[in-house]
Amino acid sequence: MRSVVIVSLFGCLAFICLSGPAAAQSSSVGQWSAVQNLPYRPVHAHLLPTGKVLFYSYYFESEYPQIWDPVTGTTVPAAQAPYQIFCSGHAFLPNGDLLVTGGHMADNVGLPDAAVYNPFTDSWTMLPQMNAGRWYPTNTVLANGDVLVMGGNVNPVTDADPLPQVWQLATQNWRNLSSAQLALPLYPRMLLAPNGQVFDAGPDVTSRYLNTSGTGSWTTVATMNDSAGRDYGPVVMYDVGKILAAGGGDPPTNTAEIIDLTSSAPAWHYTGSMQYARRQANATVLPDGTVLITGGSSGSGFDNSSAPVYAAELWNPATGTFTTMASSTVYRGYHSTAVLLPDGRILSAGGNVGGPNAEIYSPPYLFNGARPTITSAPTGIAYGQSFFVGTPNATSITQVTLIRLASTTHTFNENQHFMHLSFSQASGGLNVTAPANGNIAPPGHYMLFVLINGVPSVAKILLVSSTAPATGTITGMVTNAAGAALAGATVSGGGVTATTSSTGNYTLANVPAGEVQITASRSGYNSASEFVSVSSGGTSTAPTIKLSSGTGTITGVVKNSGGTLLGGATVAYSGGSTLTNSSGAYTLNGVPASTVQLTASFSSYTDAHQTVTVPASGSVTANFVLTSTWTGTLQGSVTNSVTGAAISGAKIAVNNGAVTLTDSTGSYKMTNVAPGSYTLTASASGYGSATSTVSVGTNTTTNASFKLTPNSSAGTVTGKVTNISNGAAIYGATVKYSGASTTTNTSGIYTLSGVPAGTYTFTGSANGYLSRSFSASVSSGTTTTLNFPLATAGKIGGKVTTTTGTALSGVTVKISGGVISTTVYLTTDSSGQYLSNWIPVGSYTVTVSKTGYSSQSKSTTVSAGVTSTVNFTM
Amino acid sequence: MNHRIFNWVGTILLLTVSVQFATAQYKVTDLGALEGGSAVPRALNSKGDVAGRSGHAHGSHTRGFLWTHGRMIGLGALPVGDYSSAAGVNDLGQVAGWSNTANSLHAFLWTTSSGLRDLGTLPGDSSSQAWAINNSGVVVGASTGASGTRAFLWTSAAGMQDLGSLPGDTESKAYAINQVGQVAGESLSASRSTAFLWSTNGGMVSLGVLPGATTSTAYAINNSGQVAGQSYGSAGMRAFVWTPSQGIQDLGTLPGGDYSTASGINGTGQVVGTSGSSLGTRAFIWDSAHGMQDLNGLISPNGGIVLAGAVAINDAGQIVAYGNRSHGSPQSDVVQLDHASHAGPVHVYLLTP
Repeated sequence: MRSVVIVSLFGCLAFICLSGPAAAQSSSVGQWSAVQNLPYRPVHAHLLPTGKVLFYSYYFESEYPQIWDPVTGTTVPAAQAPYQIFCSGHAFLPNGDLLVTGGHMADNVGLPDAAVYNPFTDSWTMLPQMNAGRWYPTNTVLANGDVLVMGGNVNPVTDADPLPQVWQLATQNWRNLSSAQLALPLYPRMLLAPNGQVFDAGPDVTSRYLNTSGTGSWTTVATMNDSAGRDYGPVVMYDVGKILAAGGGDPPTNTAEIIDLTSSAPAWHYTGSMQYARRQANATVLPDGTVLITGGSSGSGFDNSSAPVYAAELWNPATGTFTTMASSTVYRGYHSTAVLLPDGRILSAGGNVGGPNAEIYSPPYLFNGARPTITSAPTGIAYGQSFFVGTPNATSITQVTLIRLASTTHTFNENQHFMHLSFSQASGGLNVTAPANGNIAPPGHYMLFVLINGVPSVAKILLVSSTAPATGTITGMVTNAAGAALAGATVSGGGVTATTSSTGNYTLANVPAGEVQITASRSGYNSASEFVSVSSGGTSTAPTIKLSSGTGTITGVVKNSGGTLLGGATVAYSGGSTLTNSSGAYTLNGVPASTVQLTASFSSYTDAHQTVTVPASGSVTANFVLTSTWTGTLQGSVTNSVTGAAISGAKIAVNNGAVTLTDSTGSYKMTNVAPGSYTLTASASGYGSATSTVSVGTNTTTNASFKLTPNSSAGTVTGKVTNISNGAAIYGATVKYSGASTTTNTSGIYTLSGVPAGTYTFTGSANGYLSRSFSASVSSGTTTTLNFPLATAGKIGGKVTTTTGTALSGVTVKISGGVISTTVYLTTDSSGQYLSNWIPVGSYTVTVSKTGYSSQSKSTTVSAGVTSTVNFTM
Repeated sequence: MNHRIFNWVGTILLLTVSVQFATAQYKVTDLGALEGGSAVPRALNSKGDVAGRSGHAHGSHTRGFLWTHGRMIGLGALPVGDYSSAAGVNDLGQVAGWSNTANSLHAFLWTTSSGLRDLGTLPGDSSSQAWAINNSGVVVGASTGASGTRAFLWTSAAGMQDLGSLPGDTESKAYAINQVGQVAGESLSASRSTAFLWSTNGGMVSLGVLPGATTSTAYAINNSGQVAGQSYGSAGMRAFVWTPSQGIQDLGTLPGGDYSTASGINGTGQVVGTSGSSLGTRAFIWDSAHGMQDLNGLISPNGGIVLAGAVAINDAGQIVAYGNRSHGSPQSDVVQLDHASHAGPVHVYLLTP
């Protein structure tokens, strides 16, 4: 019997039991999720120290970054960016802040601004400006946590910014590497090497080191084998000092090459080739040290969506070979990103053509047996330090790896480091050795994975720095009020947590030295605390903690993701339940002082769970946000209130931060909108904006259309569309420009009002007539008259023969005349024939000429819809 | 007779017709690109020769070029260099620019007879960039080393001369020189840049900034000493023109724009540059009589060309611009009107009145 497999697309894949043919396939090629829609394209994507993904899109949308939660699959707006951070460089600082440099003033014009995003407070802070604008710079974190900014264009006039700059943490200002000016292509592939210098790995073929000390200097290291240039091919450092460059170029290549910077004479060597040539692909180093290639195009050109590569490929550094994996369904090309998640899956998202959505790839290792788990790990480790990682799988662990959090855009992760850590078994876990120094692992946040034969745990995110806090150990015992040992009590202090054994004993390791408050808690008991003095490297025995039994209260509110409070929702724990009142609030009294799991549920919503610790004689708050199993759709149109004409490119801004534009028909549509009440503002250049508040229900479509009134900075264009031959008005003719389109009335008159002041090309067209375009300037508050005398059309064709009747090919045929002056040159084919395209009616002169023959001319008249035949004998 | 036997919209654009558009004031020549890639112009001489750079779109293999007598010549790079750019061309066809060397960046002078000549740096410096050359063969640019960046003036007789900086500033860059030897550029402190005009007799003088702005940069100068450039402040970037009689003047933007910059000025005071607009980033021409006009409205719409920026204009009124053939955007990609010029190769277009 085949079992039915239901995979939660965006939930955790920690334990999935598969059987049957589908499972066999996933265990060898992995599996892609369905497509999840997002509010914007992740053109720039970053894994935050919080385990969530910060992403932002292009142009003005980049001012509205979003945070995507890999566990719940939900997206919420982050704090608005302080400037347009599209086209910026980015990498994480040692404290977990994201340093963003440069950005988009206009196409090919960079902003000199820089800012940091604090993921813990969701806030932005502006930094001092750089030396010049930078559009497409690269950030690289140095061994001491300072950040190198290299390249990017100032503007088309002055081209690349050749000055490398270093953001210095100590001075909070820029240091110019003024002895190291060099022009590099956009988003240079810069990577911190084990010697502490920064390696430039393309896309130009000369590879160099940049020494960032003092005022800087470059030395040449090696030359890539693929001399065509690996433009928009990804480059990854897949192990310490070992780099893979795969694909890229135009037309794209399937070749890949590697260099080992730890060798005595580093040189690029070809490794195996991909099955598919690719450009605009992304490369991601996985927890087991293999490299995943996703997306890209095998076609020539900048971003060729007609030749997408859907199949992923997995490169094995041990064998140097690529293996083809499962296929996605969306073209991930220019402006797409890929990010390794803490649960071992890969977020593959965005793209100009791919759109505002994501797919999630689960590699084969998630289908090859139970995953190990990490039960405890320090929050921070220091270089060279031995640290303890708690895992019940200690005897089976075959690999421990450390991967820096991704910060990626334009096929390059600017914040990448990967390394294997040495380890030995210990009681209840592993003793692991931290990386030796900041050249290998610059200070900052990393994902720690433990693996069994390539199957990774879910990562713990920890901070690597030069000086981890001094630590010691606390041992002690927890009893009830009568002094009997309490098993299963939770004891925490100094950021470390342990559980008491059957004898009531516990050990807290890696506790920061100093005076530490430890707290013991257990279901059904009041919590209690003691203070312990911990010395560096020492073991302190804590006073025995006695717990008395007691109860507490849980209160909170339940609302939906649209912010609407839900009355009548159920909030339950193992010992009881209650309903929320009409304000969405609930209270659970008499809950045993313990850690309890709460579940909030409401019809048509997905249950939400939350674990809270209830203090005895106290209260704890647990608020819930429920996600509807059905979402609504917002749609509508934006029209000119005077003419009723559709307005394309109008901006629809929702007060939850979402923004979209109307299409060429003036329509917009936003799907997956959480139920709730929203205020929408429609605006367009040359019009006053309009606001509307609407209520979005579940699984329903809400219409919100807007009529915008042209403002006084707009003018009017009017005129008559006529038949040029007789002056007759043409009814139903179309007159359009980039902003709107209208049709003529029975008198042939059209009016385009609300045209923003400026110069436009206006095109008049009608069935049976040739279209005409004119450029005209429109001024504020004035009316511009623009008439369209259109011509009907016919054709001229015929045959040219010699005096002996032989067909004459290669004869130049000049057709000149018409009610709209027209000249066409044609050439007779092998049968001596020629035929014009549609040309305006009227009188024409047809002239034939060919070397060795006398030229001839004939007159003819072209009538509407008719082909006039003009034959020649030469 | 049936007038509705066919339906034709816009197809007249495909015909080789001689319909004259009243407002099409320029003939457009596509100068192409090296290696079939992307090209951006930087300078134009009085004969219509164009200097710039060309390479893979957004990527590698960028080399300086000279377009003359109807073809684009790749100028190569200084030995072992992997990136070069041509920035100025005089009426003798001599080209000034800059190129990566093995591990640095040096100004060069290119001539048909001698090819690339490394102009070196100011004493003690490690890198340099040349930005312009006049008909006397005088080259201006900037030299950089551990102590910072200084504008230089180079002659074959005297080599590089340090032009200094404005009082209180520590650095400078020269971007333009006219036929009487006046030089324009920017003087820099740690926190701002200020456009300057330099002459042998007058030394370096500040051209100021636009009202409310904090920085300014001069990119072009004509033989009357009139200067064009950009000034940046809380209102954003704005193109400016400076004249000895009227001082600095804001050229504004095209309708709907919030950005503009000017990089070319000719003897009659016509200025060209780039401006944001409700249609996207567009090339403009400005003169005191007509104000700022979108150059796209002054060329035939038949070519399907979008001019994103104009870089230089000569006294004959010829303009060199960059842009692309509009290939439209995917239906799903309505957010931006300008994707063709952001995401793909751009070409150089010579506009002749």
